[in-house]
Amino acid sequence: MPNKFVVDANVVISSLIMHGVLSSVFLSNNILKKFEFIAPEFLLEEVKKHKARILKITKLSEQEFEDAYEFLLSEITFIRAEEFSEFLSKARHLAPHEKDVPYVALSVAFNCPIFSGDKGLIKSKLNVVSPRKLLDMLSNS
Amino acid sequence: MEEIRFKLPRELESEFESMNKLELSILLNKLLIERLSKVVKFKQIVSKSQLTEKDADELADEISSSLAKRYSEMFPDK
Repeated sequence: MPNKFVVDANVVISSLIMHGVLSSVFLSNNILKKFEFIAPEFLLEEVKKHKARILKITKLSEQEFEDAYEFLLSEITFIRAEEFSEFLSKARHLAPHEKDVPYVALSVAFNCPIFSGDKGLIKSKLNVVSPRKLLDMLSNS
Repeated sequence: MEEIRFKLPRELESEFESMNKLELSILLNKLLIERLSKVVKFKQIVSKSQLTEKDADELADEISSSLAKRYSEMFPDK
């Protein structure tokens, strides 16, 4: 069973859905420390660029967003571009969509699955683990 | 207050041998609060969120596109 997973924006953003599977995954893993989540280094920076829209949609206060952001930051290891940039070219051929290229490159570089709820990625031939499956893996530990 | 009983891992037994039960209880209490407060806070925040799956998918697509563009500009030859 793999213990390292690449997380994408879908996982990070969807973890803010009330009663969602993803918040349960992060909360359980915070206690169990079973899996290591990795992501491209600029992912949370890009999330922060969309802060105004996230606040509007979630109806969370700025402080609540910052606290949630801090929590997620502590749950994910961010990988420098230099550590996976050589796989970007290969990833362009493998990724179902251009937007998935950094995650696929990271997945190839670290030889680990992608953890995502993105329908396009799940339907692809890549090694992708859905939130429900990962929660089951955590629950069965 | 709920009481929790647990077993000390063997490798830590000697570390805790010199502590009395009250000290140990205070230490574990502090550790538990420290560890769980982040989890509880995140849970409380998410319970207030009005984010829907549709909004999350759209927003995540935008963020991923912006991220991919950034790497593509950083490494144009790759």
